[in-house]
Amino acid sequence: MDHSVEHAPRELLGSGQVGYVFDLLKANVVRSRRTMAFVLIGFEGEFEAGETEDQICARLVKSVRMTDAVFSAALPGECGLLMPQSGKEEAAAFLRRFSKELRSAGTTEIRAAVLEVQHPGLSFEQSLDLARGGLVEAAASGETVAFVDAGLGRRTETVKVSVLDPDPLFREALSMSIGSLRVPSVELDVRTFGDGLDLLESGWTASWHPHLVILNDVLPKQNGLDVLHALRQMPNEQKFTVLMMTRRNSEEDMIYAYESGTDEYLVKPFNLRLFEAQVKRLLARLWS
Amino acid sequence: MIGLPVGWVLGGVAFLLGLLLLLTVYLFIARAAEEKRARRASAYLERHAAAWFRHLRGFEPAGNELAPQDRAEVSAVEEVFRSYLNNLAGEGMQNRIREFSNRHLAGFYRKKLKSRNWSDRLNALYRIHDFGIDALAEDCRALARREVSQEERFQLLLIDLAFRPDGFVDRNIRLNGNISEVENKELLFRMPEAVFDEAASRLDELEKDTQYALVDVLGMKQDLARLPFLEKLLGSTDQELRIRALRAVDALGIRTPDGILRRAVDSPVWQERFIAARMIRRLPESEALRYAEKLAGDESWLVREELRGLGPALERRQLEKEAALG
Amino acid sequence: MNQALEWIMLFFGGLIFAYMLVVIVAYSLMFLFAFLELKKQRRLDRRELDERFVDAFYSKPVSILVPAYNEEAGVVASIHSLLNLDYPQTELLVIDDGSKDGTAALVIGRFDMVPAEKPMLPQLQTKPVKEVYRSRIHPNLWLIRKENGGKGDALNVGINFARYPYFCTIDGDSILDTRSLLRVMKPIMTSNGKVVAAGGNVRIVNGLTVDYGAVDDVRLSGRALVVMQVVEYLRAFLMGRIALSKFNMVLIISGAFSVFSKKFAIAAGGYNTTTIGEDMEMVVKIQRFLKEQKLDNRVEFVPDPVCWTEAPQSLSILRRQRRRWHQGLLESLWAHRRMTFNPKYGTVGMISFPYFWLVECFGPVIELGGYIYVILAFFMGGIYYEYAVLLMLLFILYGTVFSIGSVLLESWSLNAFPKRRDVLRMMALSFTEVVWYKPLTLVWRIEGLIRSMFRISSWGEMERVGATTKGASK
Repeated sequence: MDHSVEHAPRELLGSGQVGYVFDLLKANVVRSRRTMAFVLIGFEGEFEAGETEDQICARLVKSVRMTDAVFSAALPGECGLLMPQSGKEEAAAFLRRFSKELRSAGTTEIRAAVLEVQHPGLSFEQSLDLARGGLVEAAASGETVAFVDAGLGRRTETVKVSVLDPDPLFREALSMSIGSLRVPSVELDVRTFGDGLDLLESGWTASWHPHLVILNDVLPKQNGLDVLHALRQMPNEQKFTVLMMTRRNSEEDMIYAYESGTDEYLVKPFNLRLFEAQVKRLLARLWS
Repeated sequence: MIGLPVGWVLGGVAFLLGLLLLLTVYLFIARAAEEKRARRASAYLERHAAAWFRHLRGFEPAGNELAPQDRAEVSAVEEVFRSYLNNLAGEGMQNRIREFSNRHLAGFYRKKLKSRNWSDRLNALYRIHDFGIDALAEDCRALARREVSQEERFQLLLIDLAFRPDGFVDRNIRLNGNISEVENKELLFRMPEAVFDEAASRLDELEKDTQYALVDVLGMKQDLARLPFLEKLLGSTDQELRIRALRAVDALGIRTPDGILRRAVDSPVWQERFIAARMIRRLPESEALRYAEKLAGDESWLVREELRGLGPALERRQLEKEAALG
Repeated sequence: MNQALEWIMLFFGGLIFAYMLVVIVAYSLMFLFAFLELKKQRRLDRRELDERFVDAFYSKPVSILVPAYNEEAGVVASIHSLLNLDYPQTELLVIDDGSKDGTAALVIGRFDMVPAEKPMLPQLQTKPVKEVYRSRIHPNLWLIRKENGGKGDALNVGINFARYPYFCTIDGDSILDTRSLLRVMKPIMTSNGKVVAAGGNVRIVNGLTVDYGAVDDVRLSGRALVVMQVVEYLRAFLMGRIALSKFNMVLIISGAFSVFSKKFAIAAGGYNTTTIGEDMEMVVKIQRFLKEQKLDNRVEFVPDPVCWTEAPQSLSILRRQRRRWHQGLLESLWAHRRMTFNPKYGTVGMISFPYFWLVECFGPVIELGGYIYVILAFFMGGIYYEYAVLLMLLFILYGTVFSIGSVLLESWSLNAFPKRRDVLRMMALSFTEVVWYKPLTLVWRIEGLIRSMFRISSWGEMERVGATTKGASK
């Protein structure tokens, strides 16, 4: 935890504010493609050491990261937590740590429900309802943490794919190979180019879509390094994932390509199935 | 007196111009035919590129419609195979290409092998090797028994290696003298491990050029298991072989064993000291400096240049020593 | 008086006929060799070898030297084409020979260059180097700024800085196809280093669309003057280079695109910084060195790797170019004149040198004499009328027939201009060549001849001695 900012005012969000904060964080979820964990904590039975529900919530406020927000749910015996840029694994890890802390302090046991927020259509109220259902389930099964699925998945997203190679037959083959991939919640829009200049002049790179660029190092006009340099100079360059193909097998070239911002490097001739696996992984990495 | 030659020359010039006219007509007709073939080839590709992808990717067997009907379509299939083989690897794909070529293209290339045109024969040999058309292995052997050009000879060696690796070294150990260093390297590089081992074990029997190529290839392969073999070569009486062996040790990219390095630093041959200077840079600084001191005043500019990166540290050490003495 | 005139006419007539016959026989032979060679290779799929050599393991690394003097207009396209070469290991050294325009600033800005250090081995004497820059986009691209010293001096600086054992020289306004370097290196790689210099085929880029150093579409220029030069290049390539290369008698490989072994270039003394035609001078020096050291290394011309270069579009610039070429030719021949008919220099001395002296160097004088003769004979009428006709026919045979033949042979074997209309246009213009283009170039070349005669006489002994001792030095 960053101590320099610890004295910033940190409070429990009331039910009036939480809806607004939830929507704000959810918009960021969509933009940054990082899921948010929605956690609802329920307290078991009586408060033994005389701690009140408010005090436990206050303890929670102290334990969470600076980026997280704690809110009081409308019902008694509940406390909520929004963890942006986290998945259910991170939420579960946090809950284990927190319940250990409570146990060592000799206070109450907790149960919790965790929900991953990915889809922009999921509202705060829906999330809360789903999480309450989870708490009931947890109580029934005796687990500390229950994971709840909103059933909406992720909103299907368009990912642009550009294939650049001077050999027309090969770039069509790659395009068909990518077209045959099935990646959940991702829709691929593949285009092929024979030269770097064609891509840069096409306007195809201008939209905000995540963009996978698969390019050969040797191209007739603007070669692979030119394109890489141009893409990395663009204002929203993080949206580009670049996979460079080459026939040169020298370490020097490889190091230089990585230093210039390549995400993956493939030496020709390569196995098509290996290529497909790599593309899949690069696409999966878009969400984390 | 000169009336005769004028008539003759006039006739000659007219004849030549007429001939050129005929040739032009022939050229244009030939070109039209060629363009027609090119159109047929691209129409074939248009129709079947997707089916070829599905077949070569292993999604479906090759349908009958893929079989080429004429020369134009053969060249289209060649383009597909060349493109895939050049850019992609994979045993499955190679086997599918071999199978298809053996079935549908072998007859075409058999004819080309018998062509009197050098380009046609060589092209056929390229394809046979690239596509792995082993149905034509016997035809190639028949060609190898005849008088052929340097280029064909080498291509036939590649084919022999690809189709009959067993006994390759035995069959060709005497032949390798008349192929170039680059070709030697390519052959050695393409050898399956067992064949290469055999070649290495019979190093003394090989031609000098082949020996050098073999040592170079050892360096390129960066196989640590070969270090003892290379070490043995460092004691060879052939100076060129020693230099190359040392370079191969350097290419392994490991910390050079002290014995080797010590001998290289003290070598009377500047090339060996140059490689030693390069090896030193992989050592931790204190050790590197110990060797670098010996080489610092080397007579060869290249050796000194190679040590330049160590310069400041070397000077510092010199000063420290002097300070300690004084 | 009349008798004397008749004798003079007869003598010159005979001389010109004899010359024409020699040339026609020589050209026919060379044409035949070119035909046989191209017929053999015509259908070869060259991509196969390209792909084999693209593999870094087998290829030899090359330093590419681009001398640039006031090349603001073309240098960026040229660098792009060189960066996009399909070759495993190259470094690209642009040598700014003290340009007065913005060449250096343009290159530095365009390729994001910063000052850097590059090791160099001062093997050749040169003008001082000012700064060295390295690109941050392409790590193998360097710019070396030096004081002005001419193209030869710039290339010598490049040799000193070159890291690899072979270097390739490209003019600052020329463009290479992606596979050109690979193909020009092929004879060097497959010959175990026996080939120490190789040159490629130069074609004219005017009229083509070039974008970032790549030729998009091969079309013939609309200008008659350019088309005439295209035909001229074709003919020179088919009826000279191929045959000469077959017998290791090459004396000229174009400086616009050639590769040399660094070792041999240095042994031959590097580029001459005082002669006009430093590229021819280099080849002659290497040939001389090889013969004097009794080495069996070769200089080769390779027909298929292509270098595209800008040809003059106006008469005045073309005139200047031809004058310079001819000056360069004569100066190189003169500096090494001892090789002529010297059996020590083998076929180079016994065949190449006499051929270059007679046909390339003094041929224009005789040919122009032929033109004057035809005109005179027409006016004198009578028996001379027939002379004139005969001579005209020989001119047509020698000019037009060989030109059209070359266009056809090229079109049949290499097919550089795929459009039928372009081929026809080249052939049609070949018919007119005899009347305008040929006499013009003849006059220009004679101008060059006269100029360099004055230059040579003003050289003094020292210069010449310098050139010869350099050639002979180890």
